[in-house]
Amino acid sequence: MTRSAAIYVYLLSAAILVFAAGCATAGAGPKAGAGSREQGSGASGGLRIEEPEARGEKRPLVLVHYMPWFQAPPIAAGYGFHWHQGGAVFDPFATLPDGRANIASNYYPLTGPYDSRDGKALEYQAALMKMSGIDGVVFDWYGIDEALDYGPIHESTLAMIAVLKAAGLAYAICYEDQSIGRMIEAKHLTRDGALAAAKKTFDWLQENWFADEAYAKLDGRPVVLCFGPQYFKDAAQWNEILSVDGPRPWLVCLDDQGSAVADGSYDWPPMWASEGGALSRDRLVSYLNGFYERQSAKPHLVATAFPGFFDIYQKAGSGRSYGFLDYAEGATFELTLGAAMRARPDIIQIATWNDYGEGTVVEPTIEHGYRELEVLQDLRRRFEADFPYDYSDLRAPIELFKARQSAAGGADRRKSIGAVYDAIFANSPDAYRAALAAAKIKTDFGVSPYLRERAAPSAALDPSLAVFDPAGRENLAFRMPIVYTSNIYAFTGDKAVDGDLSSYWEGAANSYPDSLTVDLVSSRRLGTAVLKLNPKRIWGPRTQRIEVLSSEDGKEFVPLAPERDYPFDPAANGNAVAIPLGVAARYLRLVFSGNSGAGAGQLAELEIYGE
Amino acid sequence: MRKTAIALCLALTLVGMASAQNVTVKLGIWPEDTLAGDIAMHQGFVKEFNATYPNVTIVPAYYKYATDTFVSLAETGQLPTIFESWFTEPQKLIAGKFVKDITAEVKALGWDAKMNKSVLDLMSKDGKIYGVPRDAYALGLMVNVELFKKAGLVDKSGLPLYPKTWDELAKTAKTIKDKTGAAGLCLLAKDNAGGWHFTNIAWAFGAKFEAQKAGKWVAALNTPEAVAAVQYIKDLKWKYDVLTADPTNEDWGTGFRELGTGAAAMYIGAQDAVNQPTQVNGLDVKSLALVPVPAGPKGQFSLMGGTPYMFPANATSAQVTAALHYLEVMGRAPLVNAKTVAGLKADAQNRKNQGVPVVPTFPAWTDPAFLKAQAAALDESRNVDMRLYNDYYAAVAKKGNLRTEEPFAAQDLYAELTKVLQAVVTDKGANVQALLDTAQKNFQPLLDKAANK
Repeated sequence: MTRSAAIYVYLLSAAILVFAAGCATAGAGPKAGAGSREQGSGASGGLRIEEPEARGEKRPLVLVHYMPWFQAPPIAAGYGFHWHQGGAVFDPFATLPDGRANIASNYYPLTGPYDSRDGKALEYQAALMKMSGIDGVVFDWYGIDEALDYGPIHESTLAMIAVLKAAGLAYAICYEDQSIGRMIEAKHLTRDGALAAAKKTFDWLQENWFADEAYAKLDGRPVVLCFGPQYFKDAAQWNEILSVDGPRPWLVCLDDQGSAVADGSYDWPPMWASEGGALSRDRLVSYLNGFYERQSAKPHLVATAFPGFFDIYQKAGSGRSYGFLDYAEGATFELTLGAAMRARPDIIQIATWNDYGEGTVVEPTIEHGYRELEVLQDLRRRFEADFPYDYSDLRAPIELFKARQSAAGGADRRKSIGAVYDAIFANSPDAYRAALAAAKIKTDFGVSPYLRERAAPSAALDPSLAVFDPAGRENLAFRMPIVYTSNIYAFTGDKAVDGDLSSYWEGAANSYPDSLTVDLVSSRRLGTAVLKLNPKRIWGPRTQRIEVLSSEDGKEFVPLAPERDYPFDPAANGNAVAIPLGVAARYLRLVFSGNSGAGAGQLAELEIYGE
Repeated sequence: MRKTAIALCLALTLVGMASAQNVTVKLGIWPEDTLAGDIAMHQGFVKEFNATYPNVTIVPAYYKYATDTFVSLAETGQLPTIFESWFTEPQKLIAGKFVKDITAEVKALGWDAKMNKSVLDLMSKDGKIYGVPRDAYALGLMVNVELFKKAGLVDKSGLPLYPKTWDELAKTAKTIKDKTGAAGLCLLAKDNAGGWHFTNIAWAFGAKFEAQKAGKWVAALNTPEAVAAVQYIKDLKWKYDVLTADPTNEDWGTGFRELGTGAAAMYIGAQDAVNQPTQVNGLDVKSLALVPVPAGPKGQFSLMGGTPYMFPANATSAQVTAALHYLEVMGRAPLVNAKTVAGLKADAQNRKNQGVPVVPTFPAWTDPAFLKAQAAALDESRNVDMRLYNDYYAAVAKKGNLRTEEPFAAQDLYAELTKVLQAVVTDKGANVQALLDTAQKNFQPLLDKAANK
C-alpha cells in the first residue's frame, strides 16, 4: 500500500454534478452545452476518496440497473407480484382518488404500472435513456429456465434488448445466482443438477449475447455482474460456470462477496449498515470511503450511484423493511455519483432504473420528476459539450407514450409518433425535432403523468358477506393448531387459520398430495367448512382438487367428502367455496391433489362453522 | 396549553372514582396498524378476555420500544400499561425508576416460582421483580455428530465427546481436522455477527466490554482478559489451524452451511436456529447436537436475548394484574390447557414434517407442569435423541448462566471486535494488544455518544 504517500482528495462541493436543490424539475435547463451549474453546498462533504492508483480519468459507460419483472394488463391477464407485493395492502386494479393505480411503491412512474414486455413502455424508456446520455442497461436476470416467474422475466429481457439494439444502446446482465436455490426449493432443479444448470445458462449467454457487439465488455471480456454470489460460493464452481466458449466473462460481484472468484466488486446501497431503521448520511459516506479505498488498486471499476432507498415491503406486508436512505432532495444521488466519479470507474451502474419495491428508481416519477436523468445528462455534457439534448427534451417521451396509449388518430398518428422515436434512436436530433413538430407533440417543464380516469366506486361483491356466516356463528378453526405436510417459502399452514385473507398457506411445489389438518381441541358438531383465497382480482380463477376427512383422535381419519375439483373465482364466488360437513369430530383434514393456478395447494383461510 | 391541563385533571378524577370496579389497560403489545391478521387475532383475544374480565377495558396502544423515545414518554406518564422491551434493558429501566415493581402481582399468580431462575435474575433487583418473559434465545455450541463419529470422538452410546472448555475445544477441533480434514470450528469474522459470537467467548476469559464507573460508561476492550480471548482466537488459526478456510468470509448464514454440509464440526448457535443446519442446509436431523458454550478460566456463560414484558412505574396494581391475565389469554403465560397442548403437538408435527429437530422451546418458564406437558406433546413427534440436547437445556436454566449483550451501542462494539478478529486470523504477526488498544480508542467515543450524553 502506498497509503501514506497517497494524495487524499477532499470533495468539498463537487463541481459540475452538483446543482441547487429545486431547480431541476421546476426551472429551465440549460441549452445544450450551456456549461456548469450553480453549485450546491456540502453535498459531498466527508467523502474522502483516494485518487485511484490504477485508473485514469475517462468517460465512464453509464448503465442503469433494470428490472424486467413487471406484468400488467393488457399484456398480462393481471398485475404481477412486483406491482402489488402479494396484494395484502396494494391492489393495482384499484384507482386512487387522484387517478393513480394503487401500486406497491412509494413512487409512481409517470407511465403508471407497465408490463416489461410492452413495446410502448420499452421505447419510452429507451428514448429517455438516449436523451439523458445513458449508455445502456444492466438487466437483473434470473436465467433461461421456465420456472417461477423467470420465464416472463427472460421474455421481457429479450424484448428490451431488441429495443436497446434498435436504439444503439448497450446491455449487460446482473446474474441472480439465487435463482438456482429458488428453483431447487420449487423442485424445478435438484441440488445435484445445480452446477449443470448454471453452466447451461452461461453457455446460452455465450451463444446468444456475449458475442453481440452491443454487449458491454472490459478488455474484450463480456461484463457479468452477479447479485451475490448467493448460491455458488466456491471458486471451483465459478471456474466451471465461467469457462464458456469465448473470452472468460469479467465477473463483478457484490462488494464483500465472491472474493475468491470475482474480477471486481461493485457497491450497492449498504442498507445493512442502517441503525434504527435508517441509513444515515455519515454511515453511507463512511461505507463509500471504505469501498472505494478497497478498489483503488484494481485495474477496472464498476461503481454504483443511487438516489436513496425507501422500500415498501413492510407496508405491503410482504416482508421487513431493509431500512431507509433519504432521497434528500437529490443530494444522495449527487453524493453517490460524485463519489463514483472521483474513483474513475469504467462503468457507472445506476441503482436502479425501476425497482419500485425498494424505491431506488431514477425512471421519472411523480415524486421526483426528471431530476436524476437531468443530472446524468449534465454528466454526459461534461465529456461531450455538444450533446444534442437538453432538459426539455426529456419531457417528450411521456407525451409520445400518452399519444401511443390513445387510439385517436389511427394509423397516421401511429406513424408520426413512430417517426419521432426512430429519429431519437438513429441519433438524428434534427430529424427528431422535425418529427416532434410534425406530430404536434408539445412539452413543457412540468411533470405530467399518465393517469387513469377516476373510476366510480364499483358495487363489488363483498366476500365476507357473500360467504357466511349469516347467522353470526363463530369460526371454530380460528387460531387453532394446524398441521401441514409441507410449505413453500414463508407460506406456512398457520396462515390458513390466522383470520387474515391476505396471508395464505401454500404447499411445497409439485409434491402432491399436500394436506392441512386443523385440531379443534375438542370434538364439535361441524356444519360447514369454508375455504377461501384472497378475493382480490390479482388472485385469478383456478380450480383445486380436494378431499375432506375427519377424525376424533387424530390418528384414524374417515372420508367425509370425496376428492373433487372446486372452482375458485374472484368474480363468480369471491374465491370462496363452502363444503357441507355434518359430522362430529375434533380434527378436520383437507388433502390437496391438484391446483390449476399453482404447483401446490393454496388456502388463505379455512373457516369451520358448527351446525 | 391550559385546556390540556384541565382535561387531564378531569380524566384523573374519573379514573380515581371508578377504580374500585373498572380498570383500563393500554395495551402496548397491540400490533401495528399494517398487521391486519395480528390485529384480528388480538380482537379475538380481547373478546375471550372480556368474557372472564368484563370490568377491564382494553385500549389498543401500539408501542415499539426505542431508547430515544422511552424516557420522554415515561416522564410524561404516556407509556402504555404493558410494553415489550429487550433483555438488555430491564436493569437500566429499574435503575431509572421507570418501571413498576410487580413482585406482589406475580407472586399472587404463583408465576415467580415458574420462571427460569436466570431469566428472573435479569428482571429483578434486590429481590423485587419488574417483568415477565415473552420469549428468549441463548447461544450454545452446535455440533455435527457425523464428524465427531468419523474422528472417533464419541462414547459407547455414540454420543459426541464434546468440549467442556475452550481449551478442550482447541484440542477437539485439532483431532477433527487431523482425522477428517474438516474444520474443527467455524468462526465468524465477516460482519458484526463475528463480534457478537466473540463477546460470548471473551466473557469466559473474564472480559466485560462495558462497565459503569462513577456514573459514566467506559469501554474495556483492551484489558488483559480481552487480550487473552483474542490470543485464543489467534491460536485457533495459527497454532492449531482448525478454522474454516476464510473466516473473514463467514457470516451467520454461511456458518450454518459449513456445519450442515460437514465442512466444520462446531459452530456457535441458539436453540431457535436448529432448522438452519438441518432443514436449510441438509444435515440429517439426527446428526445435530446442541451443547453448552464451553467454559473459560473465568466461567461459563450463554449469551441470551429476547423480549421481556414490563410495566410503567405509574401503573396500578389492578392494571398490572389485568395485563398479566391478558398474557394468559395470549398463551404467553405458564399455563397448561387443552389448547396449549394441542398447539405444542401441532408445532412438533410441523417441525417433524420439515425435517427440523423437535426440541423444546427456550425454557423462559420452568414450571414443571408446563415442561411435562411440553415433553409429552413433543414425544409423539420426537425425531432426535434428547441426550444430544439435555446438557444445553440444563446449563441455560442454571442461575447466573445467561448473560445479555453489552448494554450500549452493541452493534458498534461488534464492528470493532470483528475488525480485530479479521486482523488476527489473516496476519500471523498481528499484535493483539495494539489491535485492542485501537479498538478501545475507536469505540469509547461511540459509547459516549450512546450512553454518556
